[in-house]
Amino acid sequence: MIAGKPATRRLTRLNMNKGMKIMNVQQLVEKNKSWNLSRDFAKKLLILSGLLAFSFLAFLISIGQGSLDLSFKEVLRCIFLEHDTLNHRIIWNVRLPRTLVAGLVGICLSLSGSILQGVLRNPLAAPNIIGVSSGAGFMAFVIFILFPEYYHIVPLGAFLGAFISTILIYVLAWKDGAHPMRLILAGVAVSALLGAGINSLMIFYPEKISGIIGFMVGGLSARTWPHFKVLLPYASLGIGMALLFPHKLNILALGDEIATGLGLNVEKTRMMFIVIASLLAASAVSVVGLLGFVGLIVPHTARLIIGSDYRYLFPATAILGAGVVMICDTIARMIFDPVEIPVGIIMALLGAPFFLYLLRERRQG
Amino acid sequence: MILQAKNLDLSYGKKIVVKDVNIEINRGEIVTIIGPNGSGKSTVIKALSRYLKPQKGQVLLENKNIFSLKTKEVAQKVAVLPQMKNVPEDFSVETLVGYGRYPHLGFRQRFSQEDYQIIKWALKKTDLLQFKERQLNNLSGGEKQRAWIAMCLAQKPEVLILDEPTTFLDISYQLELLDLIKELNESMGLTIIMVLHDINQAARYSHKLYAIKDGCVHSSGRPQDLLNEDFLKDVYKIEADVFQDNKHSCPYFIPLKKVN
Repeated sequence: MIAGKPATRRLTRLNMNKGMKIMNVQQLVEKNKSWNLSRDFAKKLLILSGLLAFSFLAFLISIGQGSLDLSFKEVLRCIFLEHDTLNHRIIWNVRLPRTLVAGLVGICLSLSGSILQGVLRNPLAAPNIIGVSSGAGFMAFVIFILFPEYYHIVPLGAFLGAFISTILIYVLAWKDGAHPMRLILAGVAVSALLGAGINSLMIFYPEKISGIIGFMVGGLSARTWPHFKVLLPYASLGIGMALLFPHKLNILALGDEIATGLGLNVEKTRMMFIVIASLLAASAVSVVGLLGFVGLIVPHTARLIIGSDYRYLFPATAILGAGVVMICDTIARMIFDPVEIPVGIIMALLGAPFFLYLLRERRQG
Repeated sequence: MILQAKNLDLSYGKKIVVKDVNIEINRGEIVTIIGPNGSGKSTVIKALSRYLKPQKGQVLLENKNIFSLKTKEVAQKVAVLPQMKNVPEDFSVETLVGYGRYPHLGFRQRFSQEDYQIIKWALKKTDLLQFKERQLNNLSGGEKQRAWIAMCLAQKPEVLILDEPTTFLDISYQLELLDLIKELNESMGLTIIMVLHDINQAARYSHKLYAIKDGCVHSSGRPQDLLNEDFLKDVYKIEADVFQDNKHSCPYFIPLKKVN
């Protein structure tokens, strides 16, 4: 009896140990299961790394190509290692800032479009639907034509014009809340009005058109570090948002009633996202002009590639946007060298067919 | 009383759709709102679920005005399955159900172990565990509806509000869904408020009926007290034979013809 007690105790302890071991095995199985379960996650991660590789390649090509051709290795060495060579100066003062501006513009416009497609629940939504293009264009025209001595404030004017017309559209669409369809219709109406304004200015001041045509088409020539610094805070804001709030947009995409039922303040969230989308697009437009197409085509392409879950869609859109604008700008610089053509034209020429191809592929699948 | 509507006037724009409606819902009841098309059933549901702000009157959740509470606070107690919802087709069932945890999450939106367990429980309750990785657009109508209900369950609500949950489902899925709702009510004491078109189903599955006609409460009460020939003539303008279903101890009827 006396000797038996510790033995039993030991036995129990052994059993307990065994029990714990069994639990550990179970946990392991659970863990493994969840690893298997996230095959979808792995797939999306793979797509994201693919996009990242594409963008990085675009970055190297964009910097390497020009009147002075450099290999990838030389490009990297010039950026990070060399300091006083001619190559370094060309890259550091001319090509790198321009490429970075192209990347940031791509990020800003694409994220803006992506946000708007989600908030307005409309695949055709793009920055121009909330008046960014028309507002910026109108203000730029007014400054250029009526106050030509202040032409240097065109970017600021464009920024304000874009942002103010968004606010105007939002206010006009408000009636017990800003319903997506009303927002879109108000956007179309205000854009038409501002477009009429632009057209009348063009008719009354035909001799001034050539000066502003570059702004209307959008281009990246002679963009350097100051432009980059203007864009950086907005792009950072957009990327920050993308990391912080993808859930809110996902929930908003389920419909207003469901979103309210899940405890999301629908109107507040929608307004916040529209303001951010407008800021993103306005900052891009103020630096490079009306480069509207990116905001429609990149978010849509990203959605076709990676799906509509904003946790993955946001990063995919940003990365793809940066890559696409960088590569298009390179082509715009190179194709009729030494004459540059505006990047907006290349974007439309290459983007539209590719987009249509993706759309048809997807339909068949 | 867990949820109460007091002298509600509801309108879209300037047009008043619902006038002076009073509804009382006790904890643990299944309450069904019935009425002809355009009578204002869904409008009432929208107000009860804090989506539509009333012109007059108030909605009280545990004696507190629902519109003075935060959206998230309400969402922790009341789950809503509206008629109008967008299905993001490439979301997985598990992702959708996970959004039911949204009202309980902090700023960083991270799931805890408990959240995962609740999601799993909700999937199990709705018999969707084997479909959890499926994309929503690969589900049948009935499975899709169950996925939405699983999302509502993941909210761990005390009240579940459903607007015509059986519409567009064929009869076997309708019964499956109503049985699920009844089971949730019995096993968890979940309070259910729903709109149904099928009066026989409403009578069989509900503790209490509210009949709404022309934006007003026409009558209310237990199905066996409410459903009779005069009621059907008055509310729906039909002539019908009403019988007693002894097996389920509820009334049912066979419609005969429309009367004017």
